[in-house]
Amino acid sequence: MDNLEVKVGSLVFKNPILLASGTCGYGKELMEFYDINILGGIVTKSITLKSREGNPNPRIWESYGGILNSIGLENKGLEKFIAEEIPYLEKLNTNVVISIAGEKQEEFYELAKELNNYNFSALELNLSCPNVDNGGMLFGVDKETVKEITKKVVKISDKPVWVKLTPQASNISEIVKGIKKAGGEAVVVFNTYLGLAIDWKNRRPVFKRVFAGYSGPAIKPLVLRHVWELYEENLLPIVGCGGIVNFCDVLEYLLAGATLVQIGSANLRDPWIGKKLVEEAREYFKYERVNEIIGLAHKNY
Amino acid sequence: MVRELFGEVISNVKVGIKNIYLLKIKIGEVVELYPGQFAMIKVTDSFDPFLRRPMSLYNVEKDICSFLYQVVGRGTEILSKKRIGEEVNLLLPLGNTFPKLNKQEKILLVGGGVGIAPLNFLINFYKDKVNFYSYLGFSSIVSEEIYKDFKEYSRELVISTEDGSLGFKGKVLEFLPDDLEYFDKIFSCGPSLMLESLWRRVKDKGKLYFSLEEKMGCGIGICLSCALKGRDRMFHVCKDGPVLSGMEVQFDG
Repeated sequence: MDNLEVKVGSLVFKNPILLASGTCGYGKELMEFYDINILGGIVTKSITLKSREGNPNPRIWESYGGILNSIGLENKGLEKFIAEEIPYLEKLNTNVVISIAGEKQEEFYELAKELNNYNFSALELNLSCPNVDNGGMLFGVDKETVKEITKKVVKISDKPVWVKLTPQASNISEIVKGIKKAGGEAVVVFNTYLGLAIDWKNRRPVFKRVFAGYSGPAIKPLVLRHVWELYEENLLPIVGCGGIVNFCDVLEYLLAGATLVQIGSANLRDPWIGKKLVEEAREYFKYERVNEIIGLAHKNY
Repeated sequence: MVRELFGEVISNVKVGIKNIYLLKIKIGEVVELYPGQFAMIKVTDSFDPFLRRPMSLYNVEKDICSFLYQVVGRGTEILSKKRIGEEVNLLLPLGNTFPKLNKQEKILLVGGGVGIAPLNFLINFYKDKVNFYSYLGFSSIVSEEIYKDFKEYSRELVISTEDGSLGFKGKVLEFLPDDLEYFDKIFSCGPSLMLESLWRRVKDKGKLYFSLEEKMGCGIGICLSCALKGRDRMFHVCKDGPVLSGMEVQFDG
């Protein structure tokens, strides 16, 4: 077995580096920069049943050590996704996780059902987008809703089901317990933090929806803490996501207990970040397996 | 193909009292670049501010790329402090280009503030092969260095400033010729209010081209931040633009 290889539920990953939903398009955009097949996998931009125009501008704003975004799930909708993106995604030689979102629970079930006809690795339920009026994070903060949606999608879908969590939920471990009972295979910790930016020059909120999702290196310690706590509870494999910008960050997540990591905002700054991290991982794990260091920091204090 | 290049600052000077700077970077090799395209500049190796800054190419001479920018926030503030010899990391070329011009075409250029940047690259690209009529507006006086190429290659050059410190006093659109249909194509870049009133004045929207600006995250079409509602569909300025035709855009105001 290759030192970099890790397993999550029923899936095998050639390395623990994945790109996060919303920061790698549908894969082909980044193929212009490097062969994304070297990655452990990609998670595609969330798809909804009907196309969505997304939120009005501005959609992005900088804060210290990170960014706030309010894209609002702009996407082409399932039909076009199937016609224009799936054929390409099916040919990729790495794990493709398809992120799905919906304003109503039923939309998740219909998406899961339709997607059964295609070949990809797993579904990621976006129960955590902070930038929409219905669904998204509002589903994700309620443990019963998360459990119910997960349970039904697991039943409908023939693929492994992951759930992307929101840090806005007050009872993360209860939510993960529900996902485990419902048959989810992994949890992604986390989507963006709900934040606010004020445009002091114009004396008003920057974003039309007022609040937006905060990501980037500034949130890394906050997310790591939750990865640590969830690892201690030994519930489900953890996919760490939040503020990774270099290989040290990847190691920190693995040591805290994440089996895989997702790179998000860093792709916006450096389109080659995924490639660079995989290369550094190859170097670092020459004589050691990734598996051996997952959660290792828990033994060293 | 988009490249990541490590250039060296060879000049970075203030050229206008409203914090306008001209930055010249030696990128060390000749890259095929066309008017309208832009670069994403990393202003710092630290992660604060986090994003690169999109900047239109103001000119390209062999392996030297120039950018004209205004200090408006933390990123451009850091950029304005870069000294000669400092390394700057850029992604380029990004975005589409202005349409190709034919010999002897009559081209009207309308630039506002640092929005003259892509028009300056255009005029340098064609020089006297095309008949340029340039109308440039600034809020206040700028150094001659930034409009000297317009002076050299335009059939006609009109400059105005809002405070009257250079050229005519007023907004540049007040000084445009009455008959805009005379021109074969019209290119403009600048504040959105300027673009909008120009758009309303030009009857044949098909001859009008704008280089547009929106807040950008990545510059490569993955984050979808720079969305712009066009007449028939959504555009993303970084990938579908920054140059859009007058037929494609839509103004709500």
